[in-house]
Amino acid sequence: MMLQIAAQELRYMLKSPQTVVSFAIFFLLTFFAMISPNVQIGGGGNVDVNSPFAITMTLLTLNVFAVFVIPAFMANAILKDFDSKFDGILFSTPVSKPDYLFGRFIGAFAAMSLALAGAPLGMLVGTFWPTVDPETLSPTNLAHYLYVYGALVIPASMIISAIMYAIAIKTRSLMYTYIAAMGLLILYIVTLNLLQGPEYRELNALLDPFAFSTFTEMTRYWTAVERNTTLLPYEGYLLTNRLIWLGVTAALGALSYVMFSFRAAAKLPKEKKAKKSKAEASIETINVGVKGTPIWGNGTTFSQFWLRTKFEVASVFKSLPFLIIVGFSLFLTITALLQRNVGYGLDAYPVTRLMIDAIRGGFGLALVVLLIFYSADIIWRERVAKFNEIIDALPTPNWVYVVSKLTALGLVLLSVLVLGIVTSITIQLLSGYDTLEVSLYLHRGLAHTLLPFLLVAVLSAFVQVLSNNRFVGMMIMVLYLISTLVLQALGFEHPLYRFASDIDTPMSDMNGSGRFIEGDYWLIVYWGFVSGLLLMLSYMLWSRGTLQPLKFRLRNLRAFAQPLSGAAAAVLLMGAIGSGGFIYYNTNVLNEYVTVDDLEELQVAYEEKYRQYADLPMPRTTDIKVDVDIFPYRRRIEVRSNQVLENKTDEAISTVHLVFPPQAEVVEVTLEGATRGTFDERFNYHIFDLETPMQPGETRALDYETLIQQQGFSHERNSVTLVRNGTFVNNSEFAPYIGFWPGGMMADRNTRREYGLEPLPRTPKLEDASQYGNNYIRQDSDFVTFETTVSTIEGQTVVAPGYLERDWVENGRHYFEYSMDAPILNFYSYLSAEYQVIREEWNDLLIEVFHHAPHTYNTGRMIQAVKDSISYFNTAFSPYQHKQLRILEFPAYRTFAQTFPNTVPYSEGIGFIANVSGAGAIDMPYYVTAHEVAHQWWAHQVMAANTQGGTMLVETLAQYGALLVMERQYGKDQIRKFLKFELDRYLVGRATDPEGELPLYRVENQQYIHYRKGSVIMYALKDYLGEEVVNRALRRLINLRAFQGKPYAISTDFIAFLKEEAPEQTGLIEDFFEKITLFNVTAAGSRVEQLADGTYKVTIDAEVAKVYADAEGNETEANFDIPVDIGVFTKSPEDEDFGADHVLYLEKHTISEDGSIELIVDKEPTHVGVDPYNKLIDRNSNDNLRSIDSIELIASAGATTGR
Amino acid sequence: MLSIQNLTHTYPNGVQALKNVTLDIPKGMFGLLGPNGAGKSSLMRTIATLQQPTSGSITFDDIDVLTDPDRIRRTLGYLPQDFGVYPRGSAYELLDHLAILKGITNHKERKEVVEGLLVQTNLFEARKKKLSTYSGGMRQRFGIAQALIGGPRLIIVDEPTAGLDPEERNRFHNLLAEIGEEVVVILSTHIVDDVADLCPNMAILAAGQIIKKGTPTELVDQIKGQVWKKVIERDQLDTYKENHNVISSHLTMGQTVIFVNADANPGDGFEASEPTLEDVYFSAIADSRNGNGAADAA
Repeated sequence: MMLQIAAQELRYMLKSPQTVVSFAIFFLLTFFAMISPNVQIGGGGNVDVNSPFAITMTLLTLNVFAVFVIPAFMANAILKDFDSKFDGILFSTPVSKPDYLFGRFIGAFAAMSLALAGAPLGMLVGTFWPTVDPETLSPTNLAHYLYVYGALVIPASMIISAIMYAIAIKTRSLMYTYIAAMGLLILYIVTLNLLQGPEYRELNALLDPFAFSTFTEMTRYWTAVERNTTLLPYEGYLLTNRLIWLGVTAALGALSYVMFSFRAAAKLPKEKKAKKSKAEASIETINVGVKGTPIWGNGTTFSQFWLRTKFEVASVFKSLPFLIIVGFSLFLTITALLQRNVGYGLDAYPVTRLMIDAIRGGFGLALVVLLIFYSADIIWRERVAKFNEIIDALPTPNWVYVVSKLTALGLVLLSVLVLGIVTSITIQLLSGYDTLEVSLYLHRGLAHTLLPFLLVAVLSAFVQVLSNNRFVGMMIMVLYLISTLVLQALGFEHPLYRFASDIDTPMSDMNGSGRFIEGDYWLIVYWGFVSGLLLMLSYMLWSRGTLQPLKFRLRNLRAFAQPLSGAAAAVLLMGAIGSGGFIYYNTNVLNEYVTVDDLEELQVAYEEKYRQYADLPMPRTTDIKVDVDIFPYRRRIEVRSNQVLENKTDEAISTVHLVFPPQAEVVEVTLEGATRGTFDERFNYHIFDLETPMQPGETRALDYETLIQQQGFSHERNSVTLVRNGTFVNNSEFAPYIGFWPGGMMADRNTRREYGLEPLPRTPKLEDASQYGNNYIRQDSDFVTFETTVSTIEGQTVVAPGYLERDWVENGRHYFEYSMDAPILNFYSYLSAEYQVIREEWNDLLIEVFHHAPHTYNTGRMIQAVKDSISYFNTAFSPYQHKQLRILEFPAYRTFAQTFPNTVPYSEGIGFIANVSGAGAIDMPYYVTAHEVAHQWWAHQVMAANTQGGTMLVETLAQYGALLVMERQYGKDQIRKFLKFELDRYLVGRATDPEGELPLYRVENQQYIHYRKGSVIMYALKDYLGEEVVNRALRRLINLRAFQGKPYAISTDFIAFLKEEAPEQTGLIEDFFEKITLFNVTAAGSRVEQLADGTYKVTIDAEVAKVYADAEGNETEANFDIPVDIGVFTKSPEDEDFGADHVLYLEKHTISEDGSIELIVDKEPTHVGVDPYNKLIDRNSNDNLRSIDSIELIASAGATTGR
Repeated sequence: MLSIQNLTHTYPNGVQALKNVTLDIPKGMFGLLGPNGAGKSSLMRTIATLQQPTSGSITFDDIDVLTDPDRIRRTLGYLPQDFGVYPRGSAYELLDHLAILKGITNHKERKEVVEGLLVQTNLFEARKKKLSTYSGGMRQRFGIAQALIGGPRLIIVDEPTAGLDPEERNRFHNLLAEIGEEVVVILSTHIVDDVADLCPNMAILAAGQIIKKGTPTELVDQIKGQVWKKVIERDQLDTYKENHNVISSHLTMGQTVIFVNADANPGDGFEASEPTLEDVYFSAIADSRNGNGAADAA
């Protein structure tokens, strides 16, 4: 019987639109994700797009989306009998409760599983699409799809279905079931966000109902090879997780069974007792038969509109779903408001800009989703209440209903946002932040956030009206939502045809909303007019009474013929055309409309045309004099420069190529003794023919004038360097590159393959001696002499590398003249803003922090870091080459810090607003400053050649410097914490590297290697070799290569010095730098025995292993031949308050064959560790510590002391 | 007053709900009688601007109902066949709400209208109760109260007495009778007595077509001397149906009484029966089933 019911339910569901539509959606989503080169879920790099990893990732992601459709199946299975009032008949038949209940579930679940099968099918079919790059495909293996679908997708959706089914049974309401689904989803996302830290990973992996975190956790450090071949095995976390949820599902099934009753009576609304009011009308005095005189006019219509709006708002406010939605949204927002992570476990101060981002992010997608469901609810209110026939026959115009419903929706959204803002302000006040920027909240938090939602609300209403079907309407809106996520990725970028499109409007404390917001408001105006038209169509096509096909309703469009409607429509149309035209003028006339595809084609054409000149001999810049005028309000920079070029080659040069940056307009360019042969405007490529060739050693003057500006607004990539307050521009944006500029070529390997291009080497080989004379920043110059005069508007200060010679005000502009006393790299920048300056003179050194007035939180830490760094590096490395160091804040549009000669531009988004409080917090502003100061040595003293390993000498050594300064200030424990972050980021990075990993000494500008692995390796190196030994090698490197361009330093220079300084450690140095070495050490067991003399004998079972990996992650076993730290503690080093007094023993041991180590300590230990501080690179860094397994106290011990 | 010309409506699934309906409806109560599924509600909804017909026209005085729905709505009172209410709100609140939507914006006047209607429909005592707690009869009375707001000149009541107990039905008839003769009231029903009790004019609709129209008296007169009845055994019914034009059969105290239509006494124990409106209705329906209804209506 149960199976018959199930089969019947399945047949019923297969015919219903939800199954077909859901299947189609799932199929199309994965299909398009597969065929679109810009969407990659799980694949990418060396991981194939149809690898088991990518299949699992895609299908599990989709599974989370499935939460949107599951309620439709589950609620429908049980509710259709109640809704159609068929329950009375059905429940009196002899069907048994379990047959009915579980039969329906099985049928509906089977239908849903078929719909979900669309996802793997879409993926599979997508792999056969001709545009999919065969290089990114593994051989098709149906078993992979089947396993992921059957073993991962179906169980997860079974769990969610069981939950939804139980809720549908309990609430008997589709709406509540949907809300529960939303709630579940939000709860899920919030939990994932809240429990982000590495310490929660295990918990997440065990409890995630979708098994998504489980998957992430189990595959975290998987290499490309593993990702391409291995399915997620049913063991460990996954097995435990599934068993837990199997239990939950069974429990829910039982609960559903208990809750459900065939005899449950419909609930009657409770009646409140009518209150007695004083002026009670008496029935005798009432005049029966007053007909009332209807008044028709604008006044009446307005009263009706106002009445309906109040009514709709009240209906929403009084409804439980609304309260639940607000509750969830609030929860989500509070979470987002409290999560202001800026890295290394630190939060930012609650500056209003971040709070608004949090409100927008917190509500973002959730609000749109709720908007779709709620707009449907409001629009269908009369029909659901079956009151529509009365309402629809009333002489109230259609627009009153439609507009009042939308207004109500708008007011509801408004109230939710206001609640968010009030919450945010409360959080600010509670955390002691009292700079309240109410106007910023009202503008960016309220108006600018709400308006796009209103546009979407109009669209949603229009779709509902047009489709005449709640479910279809919602599905269309879900498709719209998806389209907003993928259209741009598919190359449809223009904002004029993407509904409610926007332009990026990043916020900054320094620069406010800048002028980015203007373009965005134009789009809101444009889509506002379009929405106005949609609104008119909505109310004209509004179904009154019987739902009729569009064909009938189109007759109502004759209302456009009425003068008022006609005029309104004309105004809206003109408005849309006018504002659209203005937008077009900005995006396509003032600026060039360039899509990502266009950019790629441009890069390809550039390479095709000019790469032939890559090896031509070119002169190099040796001297730079440059005048720069910055016009922050006009977003314009004018540059005039005289450079000296010298032929440093040993042959005569007869043509000189200059490539100006794409965004620069070249006003004039002249080269001494040369005529401009060709000028290719498309690529800003100039070829000069020299009348007399330039002989080796000869110099020529190069004079140019360029201009960079942002006119109006562009649809994408609006300039973040040209802004009103906080201009930050460097020479690569306006100065020419001498010779073929390699940066103009497309770098991404996969994109290159799409265009049939061979991969470009990221970096020349370490052995390529031809590059030893080139530095890796730019190959057209070495160390240069530099002076500059720069002007900006009065009230702003502009800073460039060098020392300020003089400044003056002339014609309302402020001029500054800077010159440098020693040659510098050809790498300079200008920052102009309304700065406050903190100055400190210290040991003949001037330290300055130029900052945005309110950002004083961490300036003290920065100055301290500068002092500590320079004083340590002066002795450990070499003397600092300048007499000054300036830190310069720039807007948060970019979040990095960067070192130029004696200047450090530093984003407001990182250190300036980081909140370094709480015990043991990592002082990020201090660390970043120390790292940047170290670059004055590692980059600006010793520069690396343009070969593999170059960034090791620059970034890894700067990390080393920062680590040492930090360790001196904050101690070993903070370093341990810091290195755990670094190790994790390295291991994740190597797993996802598109081109494969390289040993540290051959790093090709791979950040996870030169920063993350670099930190871990250098710290371990210092630990094994000793700080002084490492520093000695570094000093020798400086002596050999500082301020020198021929040759530049290479990584093997440093390694050679290391080996000379510590010849006994050659093997270790090679493991660390020249190989990809992974250790696996485990504290496998521990026993303690109290000895007669009151000391303790500790036995530790250490398991150690070492492997070498290749670029793809294939591993070969190697002999573990280095000593390793063995520690005994009275507290776990993981504890917050762990300190030096908890260490009973910490020494390096060589591990014998059997791995057993015996030690005697004085006190009773609680923990032991093998490499307890995680100095070695270990894929499983959590098993290095172990609490004591068994402790054997001598029975006589007590007696001994007693005697 | 209300003129319906050649109204035809076909639903998207192919069902023809109305076939070329032409009717002129004068002032006063007009009964539209027909079995379930005859198209009564389709016709009512179309007149009440809730449905667009496939073709045809409807005018009320000088108002073209189909192209100018807003004007007809200003003078329309409509009680749908089956309606629900908002889950919240009392009778008073909802009537007040509807009064504003019907254009009565003066607060004082609206209070008088609403209270007057509540008294008239005998709901005054229950005016503060939630509508969702009303009984079926109370709800129907509320329905007529809302239809009367603003003194409409065209009132459409669709199957108002279905499911009411005799007492409520009686009360409802009195209410309708009070509405007056100056306005057009269309009462759609499948209960012959409703029409017999209330309507000076009527039409019979079956399978989407008007098969009889006129005053009840005229229609009864038309079949005078043509209705014969006989008491038979129940198992003989089929035999009689084969041999006679049986228009209806009733059970009276356990015995089956059949009525047949014939120009002369069919003999065989039949006796003359004084025709009632019910006989008119059943014979018309029977004719229509036999395929000659349209000819009659023409």
